[in-house]
Amino acid sequence: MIIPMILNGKEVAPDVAPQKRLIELLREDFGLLRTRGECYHGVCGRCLVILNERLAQACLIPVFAVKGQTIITIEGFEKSPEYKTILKGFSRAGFYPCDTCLGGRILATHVLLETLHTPTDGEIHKAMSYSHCACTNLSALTAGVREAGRLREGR
Amino acid sequence: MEKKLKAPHIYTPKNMTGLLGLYRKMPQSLLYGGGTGILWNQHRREIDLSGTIISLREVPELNFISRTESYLEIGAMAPLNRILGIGPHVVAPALHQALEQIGNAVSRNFATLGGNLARRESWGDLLPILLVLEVRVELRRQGTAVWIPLARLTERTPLFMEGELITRIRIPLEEWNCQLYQKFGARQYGMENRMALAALGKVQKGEIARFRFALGLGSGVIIRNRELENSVEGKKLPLPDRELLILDELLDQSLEKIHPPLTAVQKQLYRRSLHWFLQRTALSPVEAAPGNRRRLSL
Repeated sequence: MIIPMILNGKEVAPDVAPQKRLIELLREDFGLLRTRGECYHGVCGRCLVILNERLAQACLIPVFAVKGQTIITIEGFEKSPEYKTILKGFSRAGFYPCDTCLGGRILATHVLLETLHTPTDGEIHKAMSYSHCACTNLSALTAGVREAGRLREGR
Repeated sequence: MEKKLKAPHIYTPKNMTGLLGLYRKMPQSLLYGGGTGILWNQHRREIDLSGTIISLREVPELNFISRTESYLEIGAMAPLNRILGIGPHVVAPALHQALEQIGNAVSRNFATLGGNLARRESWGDLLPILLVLEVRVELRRQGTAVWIPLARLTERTPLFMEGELITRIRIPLEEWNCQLYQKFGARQYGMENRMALAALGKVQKGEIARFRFALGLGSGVIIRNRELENSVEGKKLPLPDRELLILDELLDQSLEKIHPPLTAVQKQLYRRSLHWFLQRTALSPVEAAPGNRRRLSL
């Protein structure tokens, strides 16, 4: 089945089995290896992508469900100025997540800051509750998101 | 080596008429909304989705939220995060709390109310609160549309007639000054040990004017005893101990009918929750609000 979509700003139309997981499509067919799939269960948070401006777990989406939609992976997002701002915010706040978590945390921060410019601690905790990786220090993560928000706002 | 799965046939209707026509022709099809319930238990790399699938994504009539003075109407495909976005000032705080405890922040972008109601396996979490709120659902088939109380839908076997689906959900916007939603157990410790409790109370002039209480089990069994609710209504607060003993008897009677039977721990949790809610209500309606609740423990 041919599935047209916009992946990282480019129009693509792979011919794949419709029930293939989006995570497998991204990794196998497009070589986007920073989007990782480990649990196939929607709990590890390492396969996060932005699907039509909403966060999505690529392991829980069959390819036919993204027909005609816009997908941004961490590889696509790292070309944007927001990526550097968020990374700088994390670094300034002393938040250094593990390599497998980093992509998801950056995308989740971006989506959160797009909707709420100055989120409260509770809103940050809720938005980041999709994963509970042992690498994450919650207070550092909260500070990192706040700092990224401040940098985005130019404060 | 993993066996190659057969590719499904996928249909994507663009409106309700197209959807109902397709589903009438192919009632064995799998209706695919957010997909969270379908994919949750599939751990193979390739998803097992053979046969015919009707994707609901592009049907606008299923993806809306509207509000009147007396109720909130939600399309069966509206994601839970969109409902949460309305805020607890409109959605009953207990329902808001229940929705927040479904899946995680990301999966709620896809999980839907319709999907939750259409699968008996997922009833344990949300159904108790929807039942006590006396939610109504619209069921549609080609040529017919009917609104029924959710309670009546849960009594049906099978749940749906051929070619029938939930299209809209209507949540009454009634004022309750005491609300409780509490979930016990975690998915990883086994579905059979999970429980969710929902209670609503309206206290006027020191008297319980209205009271509703329901329990949902991980197995999909829902317990709601109208006799018990009626026996509480009209009682002066605080409830004396002998009233609580009568309630316990009613409770035991309703629990005896459940199959498979509840464990002693579940029975105790249910009883204590009921007492706790009524006593808290008696102390102060504000304290019983979900935001101020304390954790129940044995």
